[in-house]
Amino acid sequence: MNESGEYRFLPAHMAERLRGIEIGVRRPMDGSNQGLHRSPAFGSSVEFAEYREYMPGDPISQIDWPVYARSDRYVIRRFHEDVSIRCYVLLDISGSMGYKGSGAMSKIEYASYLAAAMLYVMIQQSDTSSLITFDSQIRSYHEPTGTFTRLKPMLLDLENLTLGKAGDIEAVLHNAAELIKGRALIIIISDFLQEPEKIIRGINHLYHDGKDVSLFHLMDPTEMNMSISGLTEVVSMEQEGKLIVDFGLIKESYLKQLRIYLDQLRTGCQKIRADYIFADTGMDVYDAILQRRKIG
Amino acid sequence: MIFSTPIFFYLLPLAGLPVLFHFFFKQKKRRLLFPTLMFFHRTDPRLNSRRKIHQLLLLLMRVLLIAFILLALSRPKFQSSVQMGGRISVVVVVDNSGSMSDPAGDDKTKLEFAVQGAKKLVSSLGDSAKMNVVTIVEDPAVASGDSLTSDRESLLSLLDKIVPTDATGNAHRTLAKAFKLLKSDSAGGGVVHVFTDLQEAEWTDDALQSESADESINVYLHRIESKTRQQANAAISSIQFPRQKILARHPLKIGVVCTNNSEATANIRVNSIDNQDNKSTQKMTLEPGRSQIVEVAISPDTPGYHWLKTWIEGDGFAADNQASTGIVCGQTATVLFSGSPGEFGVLPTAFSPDNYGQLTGMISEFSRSGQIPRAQGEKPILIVTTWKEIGQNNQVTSNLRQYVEAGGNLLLVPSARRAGTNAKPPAWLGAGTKSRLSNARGIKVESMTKESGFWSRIREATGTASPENISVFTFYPLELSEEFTPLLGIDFERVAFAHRELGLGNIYVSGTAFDPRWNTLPLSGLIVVMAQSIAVEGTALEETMLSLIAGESPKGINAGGQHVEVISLVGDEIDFEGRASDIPVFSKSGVYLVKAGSEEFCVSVRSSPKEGLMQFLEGSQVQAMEKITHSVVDYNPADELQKYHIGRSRTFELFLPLVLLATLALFVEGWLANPIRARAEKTMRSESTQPPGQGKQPGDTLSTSGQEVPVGRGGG
Repeated sequence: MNESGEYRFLPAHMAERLRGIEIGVRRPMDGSNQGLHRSPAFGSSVEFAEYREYMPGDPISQIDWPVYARSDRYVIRRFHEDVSIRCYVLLDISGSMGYKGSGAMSKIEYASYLAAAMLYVMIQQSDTSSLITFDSQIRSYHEPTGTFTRLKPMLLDLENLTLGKAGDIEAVLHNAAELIKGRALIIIISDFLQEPEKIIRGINHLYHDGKDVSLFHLMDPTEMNMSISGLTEVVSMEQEGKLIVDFGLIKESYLKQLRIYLDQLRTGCQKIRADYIFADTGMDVYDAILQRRKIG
Repeated sequence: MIFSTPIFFYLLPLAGLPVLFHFFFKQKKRRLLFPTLMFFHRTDPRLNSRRKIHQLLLLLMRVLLIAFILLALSRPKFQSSVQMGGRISVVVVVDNSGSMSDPAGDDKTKLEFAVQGAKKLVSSLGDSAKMNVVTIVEDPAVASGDSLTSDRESLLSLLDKIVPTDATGNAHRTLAKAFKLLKSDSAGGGVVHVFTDLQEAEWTDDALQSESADESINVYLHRIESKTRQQANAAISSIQFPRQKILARHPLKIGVVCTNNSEATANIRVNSIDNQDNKSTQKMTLEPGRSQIVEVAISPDTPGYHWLKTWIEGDGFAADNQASTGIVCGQTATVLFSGSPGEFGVLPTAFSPDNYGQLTGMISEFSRSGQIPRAQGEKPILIVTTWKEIGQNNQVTSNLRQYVEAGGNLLLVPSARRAGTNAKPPAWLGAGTKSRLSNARGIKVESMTKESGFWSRIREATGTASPENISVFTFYPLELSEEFTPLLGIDFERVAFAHRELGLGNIYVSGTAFDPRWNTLPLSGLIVVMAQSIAVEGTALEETMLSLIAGESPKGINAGGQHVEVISLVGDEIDFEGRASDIPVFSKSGVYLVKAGSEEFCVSVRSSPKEGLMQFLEGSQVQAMEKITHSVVDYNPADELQKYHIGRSRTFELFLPLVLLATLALFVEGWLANPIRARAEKTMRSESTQPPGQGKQPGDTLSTSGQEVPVGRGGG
């Protein structure tokens, strides 16, 4: 938070632009409160769901009397129930997220903007949201909240993130599936630097647990374009190790491997109905959120 | 390797500049933190090695490019020189003539220095060099074949076999052989090294002027300095054979002509030994420039080959002191009488007292005049006929003339039995008879022309050339042409006995028969001496006896295509069997028997008297070799002889190949740092950076928060 009281990753102009944006889910969600999202249970919304034979004990007020008049049958008219949902934003704070190439900001900064925006949007639409940070394991966990007051600690946490070491997304996703009970929206913001098969396995676990999963895949433009030339000693930000690379020579092969990796990850997500949004750090955060909104 | 502009060669270390640049201005490695090495590990792990190889190749090409350019600018010529084991053709000529046996210093003879130099040269030549060895005096022991060879060991072995000779070399023949050897080599051209003392005897030969060689052949004459000789030098300058035919039991005196060709008085001994082990020694003093004949007697007691070896002792040079003389002593000779025994008085007995040839080596045979032509085949030593006989048959007289002209002896006498000469003698005879004169008490005759050879032989045999108390009772005064020499008569108008030469033969005419009724000669011993002298007159040198000076080849041997064999009777053994035209020169004194089919030749060889002459060429050129590119250099044992091959061995201009190599290096360097590849990479880059999913396209912008933020490739 700066001197004017603005949160670093959720400035006022950003909050203003986010007002009115709604994030939906593909799957019915559990929820105890009235909300915007369809629940698998019947409720009191205005959206007709079905007719059911009257059963003793049902409130008489629920009998559809016009139907009785026409068919001499007691039926009860049922409506869908709209509930609020829980949204968990899983933010990758592994070492690689600290990279800043030719993008406007580092990946972790971009991810923080994105996480703050998502948390804000979800609370704004009467859902609850939670922030979970992880690298090779879950590092911090905030209980889901539906108030802006309770959002504040999460926003402040975003401003004080400490990057971890090597990440293990698959392990974290398995842990998250155990940690998060019931149906919920899981938004994973990460650079997903792990083998796509492993990542997909983790996402699959969440999906089968009834979670609606969305991935924000962040990359720096430099990572994508390899706009580096010359002989360079490349040091990994996560693992031990370094390589001497002539980017001029290796570029073609690198980009080819990158394309394969991205294709595998995107295809894997499509198979398990996870939303995959690719965003490079040169892209406007709002634009990235719009990508997700369209899907919802 | 020769560099025309060596300054560029000295700049060759500059070729290492790219290496220096590589190390000093090497691109500093940047250190870059990158999110992951995952994608790098997925790439081809060989890329890094390829990059290193690429860099090394690029560096190498740049070094080579500079090196080739500098080398090309230095205009190098590759020379197949000795040091580099290059291909070079060399013929080594060693002067093994007699003069080379003189000492030259350090207790070594000139020949030893020559062989030393030749061996040094042969040893220094590379393995691929082609060479051969030739001696100035042909020596069968140093036969080196008709082509150049790389077999250095065999050539060194040949050089070890070179020994001093008594001969004068043939420089013309030697150089011709050397040039032929060089030309026979496929490479052509080359160098001829001659190790010689440049004695005028060999190097002023007019025949040398006819020899020429093209510019690809160069001749170096390594002059081995001759020391001044302090002692006198006498040489056997010639051998004088007796003017008589050689018959067994007829003693001979062979004249050995000794010449002092130095400027000091020579006190020498002339020694001799013959095949019968008769030895003799004669002392003599020879003033400078003087010659003297020493007569050495030999008395062959049997038919066959005999030899006499003569040598001089006590002078300062030995190679011209030897002479060997071979003689062929024929079987018993025949004196053919054309007529009956009674017509010739005591002559048959005077020639052959026992008529078996035991005493005089001659036998007397009688035949009719019609058989005289047969005599040409049998070659009698003498034909005796009468004035009457010779005038009767033209065919007979014609045959007699041929016989005499071929070397036969003819004695014409009046018939002791029949008076009168009747027939007119043939005109070629040049003699006739006048009217018969008779005196019962006898008329004293005297010897005439006492200086003639006939009387010289008589004088040698009897000690006097004045026959005493010889009277004639009857005789026909002779009518003589100018060719005749009166030998016996009353006066020059009444000559009774005369001699003339016709062709190679001799004709004796007598106006009186050798009969006691005609004169008193048969009563004295002189008749025998005269008869023997008439019979053996002629030359001892027959067609089968050849006399040579060492270094000469025998001429006149016609083997009719058959192989000839050379057998040594005395002197160094020569082992030769081959064609007559290939008979080697006889390099040392000796007597050799050359068998050519059924014929045999006796070759007498004496040392060359020229070899003792202290006359050597000065200066750097040999005048007689004006058509040959040559240089005379003083031989120095410490000299490196390879320097004479510089510029003479084949050279190759390397400029063009180096320019081509530099161009090649430039192309390779250009390919390695290839702009085409760079463009291809650029194209690949633009293709590879397409977004992996949907999203904004490159170049799109999104207005946000009052600022334009470039949008990368989004996906999802």
